[in-house]
Amino acid sequence: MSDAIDLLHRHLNGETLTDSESQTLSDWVCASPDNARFAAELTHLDHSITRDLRHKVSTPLIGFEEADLLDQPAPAETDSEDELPPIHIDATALTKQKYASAMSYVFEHAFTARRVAVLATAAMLLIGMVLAIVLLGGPEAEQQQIVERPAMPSPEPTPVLPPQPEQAPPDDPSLPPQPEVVPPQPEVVPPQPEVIPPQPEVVLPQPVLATIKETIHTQWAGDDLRVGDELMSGTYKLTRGSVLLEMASGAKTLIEAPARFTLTGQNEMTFDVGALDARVPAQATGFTVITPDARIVDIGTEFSVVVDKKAAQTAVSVHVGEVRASATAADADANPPRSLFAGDAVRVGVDAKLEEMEYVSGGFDQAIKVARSRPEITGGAVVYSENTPADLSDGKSTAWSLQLFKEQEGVELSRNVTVNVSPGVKWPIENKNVRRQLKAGIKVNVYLIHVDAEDAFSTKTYTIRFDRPIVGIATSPSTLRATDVLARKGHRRTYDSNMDYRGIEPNDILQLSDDGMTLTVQLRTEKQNLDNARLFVLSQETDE
Amino acid sequence: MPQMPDQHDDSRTQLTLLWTSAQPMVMAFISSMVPNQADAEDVLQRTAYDIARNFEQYDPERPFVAWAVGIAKYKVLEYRRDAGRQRVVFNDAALEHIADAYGDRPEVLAEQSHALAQCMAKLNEKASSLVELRYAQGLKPVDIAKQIGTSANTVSNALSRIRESLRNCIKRQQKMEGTR
Repeated sequence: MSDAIDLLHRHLNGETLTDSESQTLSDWVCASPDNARFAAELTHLDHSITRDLRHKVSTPLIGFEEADLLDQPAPAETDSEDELPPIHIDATALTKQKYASAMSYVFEHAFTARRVAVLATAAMLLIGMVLAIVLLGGPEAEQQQIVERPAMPSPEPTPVLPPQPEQAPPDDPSLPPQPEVVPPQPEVVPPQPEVIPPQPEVVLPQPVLATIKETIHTQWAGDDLRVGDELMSGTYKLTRGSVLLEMASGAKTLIEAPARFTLTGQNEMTFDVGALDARVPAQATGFTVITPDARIVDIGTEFSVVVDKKAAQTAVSVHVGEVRASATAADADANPPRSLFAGDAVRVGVDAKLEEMEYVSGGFDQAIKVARSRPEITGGAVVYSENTPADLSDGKSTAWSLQLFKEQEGVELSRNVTVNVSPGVKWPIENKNVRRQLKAGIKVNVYLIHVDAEDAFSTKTYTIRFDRPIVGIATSPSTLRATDVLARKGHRRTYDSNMDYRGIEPNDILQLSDDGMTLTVQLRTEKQNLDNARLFVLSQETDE
Repeated sequence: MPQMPDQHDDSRTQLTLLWTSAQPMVMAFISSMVPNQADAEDVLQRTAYDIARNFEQYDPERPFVAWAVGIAKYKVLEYRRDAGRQRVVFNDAALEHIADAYGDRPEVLAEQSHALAQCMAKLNEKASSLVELRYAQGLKPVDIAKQIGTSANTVSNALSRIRESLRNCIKRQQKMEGTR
């Protein structure tokens, strides 16, 4: 029997079965309805995987589609609340989404194959959709004017912000309440004799759930939220930068983009995607973070939560104190909350169980320091890390985006260092003999730009802005080699024999502003190619 | 462009809605029996045509998928006859049983595709790249093995395990949603 299952797998894997193997498999299928169901399930699964992937492939830039979308000025479903009645958008978006997923195949098929039968059904389908939109959208839109409700749960993890309350003043950062905190209905109004006055326009004040304490290069989807703004119940989407929030309970959280979170109480939030660091004082014990696949309850501590945007998979690290974490996907009985202590790190595995992972030291203060020292990057998805990956050989640390690693902080140059690009100079350099030198004795922070595309990579322009000037950039294999030693201990990487791939090619463009603060990078990378450049940023300590 | 029918009565609308939700499953069934993609699409078209033509014979008491897969089954058998003798993995008897199984609990299969995306996202990098090569690019284990420098057997075993993991993950998701 297990042989037959193996045969089925091998058939689905694309192996060619022999006639007798096929016969064995067919006989097994006929032997019991359970076997036939198993075969149906597996063949259906296989077809679904193919559909799933082919659909994805048609959307360009798989690797960083979300981050990339976040950078767009105005994605229709999220940012256009101001222009159109919010619920209208939401209802149609939902309806469309729901139908699109169910019907995409019909359309795809109808228009490629052009067969009468399917075309007719596609036409009918349009009518069906219109009807559905009218039916679903109509009554709901009316209802919405009386009671603000958040968006219905979307079947897919697409970020959709709930509609903005119409009653809110233009600059009010509040978002609509969650069902739990819907303001009392007009029924609560003291009974009036006979004549009921027109619907009161007044919306009861909502409790402030959190206050913005600091923003670092932030950009929000929707209203621009600033320091001092008070946040009500609702969903917030941070598209760039970091924000420091203080919950009404006193718990402090540093949230890093791209992130989407919903404030659900004075000491509680759901966290769909992004990175969060928390410091929870004693009075806020019990601070709870609910992610798509885990629930983390603090017991007085500092901890970090990262929800990976692609897998919606949660990782938790505890720096101080204790938290209780549970994977919410598993049966409650099978997986009770687990206590985690300082130095513990877990993630929710594919089997919906918490599994150990390597703890990387951190903490709230460090997270804030990192966020503050982070360069501001615009123009494209950039992976920024304080750590350098272990292997930077060609093809070993690939990404769809430009990667920027901090290799060293505050290192004093012990001798003159030759660089290829300096402030005001543009790469490619016309006169290659003009090389500048950084003088021995200055202190610099060292960053490495690393671009290793997984596939053909279209030219993209990035702007990286530091709060200190970049004094020089090493762009050639020789200057890079000569400065590899400047990376801090544990971050010096050896490169494979393809060393000549390192550096920037003449068809790439690098331009450093005259003050050295802004670097514009336009890189053209192709498959099997690697671009490296090392940035020397004047360290804070030099002029102190 | 599709032509708008002059009048659309309830039964046509009904048909469209039913067919739309059943179609992926019908196509999954056909693909499992007709490996060539173009041929499978052809069989799907013929099935759709028959379904549209005979819709008044559909008994609303039965699951639509069961009825549709039943028709698809005949279309596959027809295709096999027309194509002449060719090697098939599932013989006609097995085909009957699998068709019944599709119609048996269509909701289980429908939920399967629903939960799949999340489970796919949880695959590790190596697994996703194998899945990508097999399913998006349609490569056979031999070709995948050449690309990544290993044996076809290793690739095939890895794919089997990945499929099992995905199936388990989906089961768990379904269970979870069932208990909510």
